[in-house]
Amino acid sequence: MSKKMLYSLMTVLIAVMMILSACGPQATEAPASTLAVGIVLPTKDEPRWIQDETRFKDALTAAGYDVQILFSQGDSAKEKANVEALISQGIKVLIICPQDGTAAAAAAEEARAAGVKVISYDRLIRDTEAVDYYVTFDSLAVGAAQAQYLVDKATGTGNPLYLYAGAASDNNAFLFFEGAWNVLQPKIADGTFVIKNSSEAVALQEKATLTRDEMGQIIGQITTNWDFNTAKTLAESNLTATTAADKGDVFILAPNDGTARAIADAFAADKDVTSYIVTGQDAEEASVQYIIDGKQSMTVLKDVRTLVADAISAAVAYLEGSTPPQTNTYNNGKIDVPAKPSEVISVDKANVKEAVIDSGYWPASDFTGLEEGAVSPVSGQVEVFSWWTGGGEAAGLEAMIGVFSEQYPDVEFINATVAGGAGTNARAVLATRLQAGDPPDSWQGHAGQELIGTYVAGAQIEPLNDLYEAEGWLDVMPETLIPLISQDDNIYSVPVNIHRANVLWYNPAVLEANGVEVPATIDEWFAAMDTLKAAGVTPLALGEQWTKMHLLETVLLGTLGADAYNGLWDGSTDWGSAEVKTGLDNYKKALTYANSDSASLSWQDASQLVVNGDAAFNVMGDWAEGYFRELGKAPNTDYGWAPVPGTVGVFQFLSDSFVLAVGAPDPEGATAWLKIAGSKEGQEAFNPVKGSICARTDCDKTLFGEYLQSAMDDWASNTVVGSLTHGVVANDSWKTEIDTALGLFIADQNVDTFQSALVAACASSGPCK
Amino acid sequence: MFKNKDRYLSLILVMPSIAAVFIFIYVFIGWSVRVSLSKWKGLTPDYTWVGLDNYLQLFADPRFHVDIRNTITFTLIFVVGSIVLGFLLAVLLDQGLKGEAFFRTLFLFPMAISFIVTGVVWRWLMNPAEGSRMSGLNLLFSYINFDFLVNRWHTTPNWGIAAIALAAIWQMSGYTMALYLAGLRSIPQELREAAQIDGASEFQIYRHIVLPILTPVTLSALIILGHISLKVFDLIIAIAGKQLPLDVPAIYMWQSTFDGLFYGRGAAIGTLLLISVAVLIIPYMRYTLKSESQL
Repeated sequence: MSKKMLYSLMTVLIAVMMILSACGPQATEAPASTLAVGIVLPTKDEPRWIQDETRFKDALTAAGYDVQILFSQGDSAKEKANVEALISQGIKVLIICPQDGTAAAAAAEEARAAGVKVISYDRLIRDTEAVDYYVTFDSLAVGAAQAQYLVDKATGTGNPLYLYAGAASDNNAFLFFEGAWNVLQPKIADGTFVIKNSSEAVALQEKATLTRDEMGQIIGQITTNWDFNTAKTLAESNLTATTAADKGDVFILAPNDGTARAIADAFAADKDVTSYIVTGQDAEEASVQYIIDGKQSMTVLKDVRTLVADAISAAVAYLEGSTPPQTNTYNNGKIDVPAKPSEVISVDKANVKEAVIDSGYWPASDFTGLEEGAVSPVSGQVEVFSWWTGGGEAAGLEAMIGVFSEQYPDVEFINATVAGGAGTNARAVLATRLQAGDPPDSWQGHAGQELIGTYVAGAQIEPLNDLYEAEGWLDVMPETLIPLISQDDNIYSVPVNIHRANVLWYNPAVLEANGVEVPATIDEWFAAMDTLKAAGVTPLALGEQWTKMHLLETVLLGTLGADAYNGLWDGSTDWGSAEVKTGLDNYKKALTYANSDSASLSWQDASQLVVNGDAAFNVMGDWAEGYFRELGKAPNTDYGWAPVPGTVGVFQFLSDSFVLAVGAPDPEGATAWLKIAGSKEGQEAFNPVKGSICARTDCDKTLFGEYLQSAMDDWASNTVVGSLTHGVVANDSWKTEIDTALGLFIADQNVDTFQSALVAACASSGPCK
Repeated sequence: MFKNKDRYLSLILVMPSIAAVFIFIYVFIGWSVRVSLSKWKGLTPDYTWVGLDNYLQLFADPRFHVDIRNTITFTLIFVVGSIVLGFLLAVLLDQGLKGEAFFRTLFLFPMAISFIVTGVVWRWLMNPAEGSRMSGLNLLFSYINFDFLVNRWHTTPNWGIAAIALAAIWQMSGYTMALYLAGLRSIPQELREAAQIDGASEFQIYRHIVLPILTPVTLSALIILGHISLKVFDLIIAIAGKQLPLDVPAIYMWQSTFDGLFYGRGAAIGTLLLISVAVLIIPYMRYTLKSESQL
């Protein structure tokens, strides 16, 4: 959830609480029964106001208020009629965005006379005392941001400048123009710009501060009346009136997005215009697409959600008899109207993704070509260390590096891999480099305690909470995942892929031939394996020691359930307890169903027994599925899958993730890499190749095969717990101690010794005291 | 004067090697010993002095007991097996049979390949799978109806390490053979003839003449094979991976240090390994140096 959404939600919540508490014993007189707030908006023809309508309606309805919203359709007379209609319905607060600031004064006075508080929304009602509050963005800052953008892009002197403004009837149009003039005028005076389309402006170009009348004269020449068609006609007549010498690389001050697009289209159609820089305002969806496509240069984002929230909180303040906060006043010709203006953001191609999409203002799916639009100026080099040197892992890494190079073409990617030992060698090299104070920018590691226990303890990796916040990852990753990759509320790595550990693979034909159903509980499982054993089938395929630890963790999970299993790793479940003993007894029993040559089998050998019909069940992570496919086996006929008995509804995960090194040589490049690793594009590039699912829950399902699609559903809906064997829940030391205890247990089969060794391991290397 | 000059020059010339050996061997040995007396656990060095704690914990550690037991078993089988087999092969080759050079090369050949390669081959030969998946030596035994020989090899409870020793014997017996063969060839023919004239049987000749003369060779073989067996690591990893029933100190050292980040414990195991090898090697080196200087 983005911060802004959070704020508006909080505002609404606070509003609800205030109302409830203010009502006290009279709470039965629910405000819902009478119309409390009336809202008048200018026109349905601009998307902006339709969005506002929805936002107001949703927020006020959620707060328990009846609200009616009327549109003036660009007509001041209709506006007045609307206000009167609302007054007659008994509203207490009027939120009005006037079509014409001066014309609305009469309507405001009527409202005042009826005892209604008048909130002037976004545009100021002029020349009346009947305005109680003004909710607005800092309009001067909007104009200044537009002008500053033009100034920043201009080089040399004599750049042709075309000025356009809003409606002369709208006070904001003056404020925008004033803000822009303050920045542009010195650059016009020094010859950087030459005004091409306003003789009034040329006449006043030596004057740093304009009076309202002077501005009125200029705006009279360059007004668009906030109307696309007017803007287009005006731009075309300007282009006809000027010569080719007045064109070339032009600079255009356009007051808002709608007019900017109309003007931009007109300029783009003129063959004498070689390039243009055009400003805008409001971050309308169409203009965001224009910016991505390079057809509009910039826009000023005024997050309307903030404005709506502010208007509602002001209304609520009045309804409960207090006054809204005030930091500024705006003179409307009669009085200084109290206000608290909101911040604005300048948006262009470089930050459009971050400012508009990632903030949740517009959804990414509404736009095309976003990736080219997100090209960032980050440069330098980034060294990423991993042991992905072969197979699907290396291919997946290559695919993700491809996405990275596309989005950060100026960053040199150094792919530092160390082969061998499933990472053991690489980790030894990494340890040496870290001890020598020569860290790579980022490196690979299993998400969870394997990274945290090793590198956080040594203060070698940075927390990434800000990145998660900024990239909105918390919204797209399962809630139960986050604590498992965090320590003391700090998130330390970016998971790229997700594998599931608690998968029971079975051979459908073998089960059917022996009349065995797929078991859902541990007892059912044992009963099924008894049947199979009696029939001379190897019930359970098992491999070398680590696959036995893998079996142990899933049987413990199946016996204890998700909560008690999680408790094993944070110290809240006692390793010496009777439940754990039951789990270990179950484990011991499960081992009796396994093939006798397990110690000599790799996991591939063991899994293969199932698809070849030599064994019925195998517990292995879902990388086994990739292996089955390599063997040419077909899902649901040669192999089936289910959660390990007792773990239905639980997703025991492991994940490869990347970290940010403390003292990274190029932290900017490293952050860029992490952004790709956590992005939808990066994960969609990596995972289909690797045969895993995205850590994000919003990846395109059609990219994945049948099994992985079912895993994606579970990942998004199940309770997430971590794997022991694959580094999520226990640090390396603890895991090694458990491995030793397990090895001794396999030799002597003594559950009591095993359990006391596990208790000791938790005390020496885990959280138990 | 020249003599002194030569001395300085030679000293200067060997200084780099002396410095390198000093730093990269003795300084690091010292550092390892220091680490073994610290409580360093995790990636960040921690030299807090804990005395012999790491060693005491090891001696109480059931896994280390398994390691010691496995090392002793492996050493006994491997050393005795290699010496006996090597000696027999040497004696056979010493009979002057046809194609001796061919067989000599053949027996010596396994020594030329690495333990990893040996391990991979023997992993397959000693496959313990049963029934339809049977393969390797078990399949061969079963095929020729020697079913009583079919066994679980390195997965045999408690004695799995003996199977590893078999592979090691296969690799090193040729080398032992070479040592003995050289020894046998150095025995003067006159000695044997004199014994034959005295009416000694062939067995008596070996018992009373050949074997005593070969004692230094046996000692060398014992030392060389002994220190190889104490340090065995790669052969086991290649055949069986990291599995506790086949654990030895070198594997425990690796896992402690690099998998579990118990640097203190890893260094303690390393130090114990060094001491055990030194106990074997130092007397031998003193002995060899002494005999060489007598020449």
